[in-house]
Amino acid sequence: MSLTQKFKILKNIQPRKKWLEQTREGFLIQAKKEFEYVRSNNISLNNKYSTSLIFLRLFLKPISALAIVAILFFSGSTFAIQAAKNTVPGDPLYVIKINLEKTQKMLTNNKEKRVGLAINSSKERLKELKKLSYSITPSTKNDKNIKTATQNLNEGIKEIKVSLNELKEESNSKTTIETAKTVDTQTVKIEKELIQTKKEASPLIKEEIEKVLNSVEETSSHALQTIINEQEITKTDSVIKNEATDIIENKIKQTEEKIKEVKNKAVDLVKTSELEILAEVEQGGEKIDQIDQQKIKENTKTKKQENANQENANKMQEQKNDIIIKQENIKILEETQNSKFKIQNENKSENLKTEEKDKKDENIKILEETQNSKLKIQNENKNENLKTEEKDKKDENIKILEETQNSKPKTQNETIKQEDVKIIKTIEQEKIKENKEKSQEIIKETNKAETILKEVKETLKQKDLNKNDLNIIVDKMIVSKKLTDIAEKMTEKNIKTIKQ
Amino acid sequence: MFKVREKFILWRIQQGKIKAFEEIYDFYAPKIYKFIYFKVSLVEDAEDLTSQTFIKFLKYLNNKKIINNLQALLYNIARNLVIDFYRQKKQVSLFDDKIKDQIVDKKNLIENLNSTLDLAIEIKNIKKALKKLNNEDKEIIILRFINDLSIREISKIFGKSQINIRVSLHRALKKLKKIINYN
Repeated sequence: MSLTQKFKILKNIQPRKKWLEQTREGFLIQAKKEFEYVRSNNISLNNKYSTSLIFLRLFLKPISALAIVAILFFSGSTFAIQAAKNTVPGDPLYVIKINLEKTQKMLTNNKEKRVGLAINSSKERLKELKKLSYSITPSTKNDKNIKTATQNLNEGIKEIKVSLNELKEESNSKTTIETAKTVDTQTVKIEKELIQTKKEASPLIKEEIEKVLNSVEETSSHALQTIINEQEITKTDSVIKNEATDIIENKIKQTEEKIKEVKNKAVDLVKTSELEILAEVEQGGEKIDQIDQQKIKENTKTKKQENANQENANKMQEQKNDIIIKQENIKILEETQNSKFKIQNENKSENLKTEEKDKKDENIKILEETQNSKLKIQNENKNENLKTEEKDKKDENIKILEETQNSKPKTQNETIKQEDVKIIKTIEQEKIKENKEKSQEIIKETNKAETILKEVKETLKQKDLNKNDLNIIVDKMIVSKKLTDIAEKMTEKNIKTIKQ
Repeated sequence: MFKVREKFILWRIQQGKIKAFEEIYDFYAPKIYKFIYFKVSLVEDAEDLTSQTFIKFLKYLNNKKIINNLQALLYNIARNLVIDFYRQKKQVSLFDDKIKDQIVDKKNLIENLNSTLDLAIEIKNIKKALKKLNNEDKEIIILRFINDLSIREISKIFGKSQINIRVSLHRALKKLKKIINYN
């Protein structure tokens, strides 16, 4: 028997049937357990690729992607539709999804259902946006896709408005009112989810989300106005109030809550600004030194040699005063913390001029103390870590003196501290002034919004309300909303400047 | 398994459909069993190792890794498991009584009822000869002649070029013949 014949016989060896069946069951049970979450949540095991990409990549590599899309689109098979369900802008099968939605629209002549379709499509756009924004891989393609997703959302929401108008022209008032109500509720939901995504989004995308939010507000207000305008003024005034006023009252509540939030933010602004400045002082005041650097860069070249001599003298004195400085720092920091809280509690009251002066004096004292502690801590850090950066800072502090006084440099540390303090003191005073003014502006605008809302509430209590009155109310609400949004933006901008 | 069919199955696995798992098991379990059996020579060990390969396969999937070639993956898992198995075990028995139960080819049995013993002896001789070979040569011979894989498929399992595998196959067969003729 030749080798090949022997091997042929050996091929026939098979595993035992009983063992095969047992292990098969065990394998399938484990497979079910481990991948049940996959099937229930329609997640793909590989986060990098969506289902459509895997389909293309694994299954139909040789044919080009466009050809596949064309074939599937024209075939209209359920296979393609299933594959295209969870796609996202940027995927090749996304085109199929959109074309499906378009064909659905073309086929429905009922305007009511078209509004429903527009709402559903905008919800889908929201889902896509969320999926893209929460994806793990940040890349340039992803950002492009997110932009397109937001733009698509924007268009979708505008379509809702357009379809509502078409409904208005053609059908009777009851159906329009009902559909307008559904539009209102759905847009509110969309708005909430959009605000959540905005918080976690990058700044580029935030701008685009704001555009979408504007269009969302337009559609919701438009829906409200249609409810108001389509109602026939009957003799029973209670009918008009029940339908539209409920929605208006809900919106008033929302804006009031927002106003409260913005006011709290404005109050926190002042606190955080002072706290942060004092924290900077405690840490070592590097940021303030940066401001000093800007002033000093003009005249610095000729005085380096003299500074070198001063460095040596300063080092000697630093080494002598270590222990005393540390003990004093602890006391000063405790005193500053106590004074800090006093200032905060006092600033909460209304800003009269006398109180401001007193506060300024207190601020000056505290700042002097903190500056002393700051410089002492700087000296400590230099003794611990002799780095060139800190040497340069000392040079620059010394240079401030020379420029201000136009006198010969002194070798003692105490004189340097006092003069340094004055300059830094003024800078910090200016900072605190700015933040207080900004917070005041913010509070002004929120107060404006509040007054408008109060007017609206009073008018609602009246019984004789026309369509025009209600329309005016809606416009006022929009104005108040915009004011609160502006105030919110101002708070965000201020927070950014402080953190710089 | 054809490439297209394999990739279709992989796509369905990515979505977690159980029928895909069934198909994989039904198709690959006996093949991997054969492969391992000729390396390990005890039925129970071969059974354990094949079930372990499929469990490892599930773990591999669960770690969300991309599968390019399912066949290569399964065979590689099996190979590595056998290597680990041999590290632990010291003695290996050459002859197994249960061979007779396994030979399913009834035609041959009916025709050659008298020669079943001869068959068993022949099988034993081949196994002995195989054991004297290098690990890789052994694997290539088993994959080529018992599992009937093409040289392209074997090259993907080992990660080497086809020419490399043709040459090593040729050399391995030469060695085998020498050993058998010598005995």
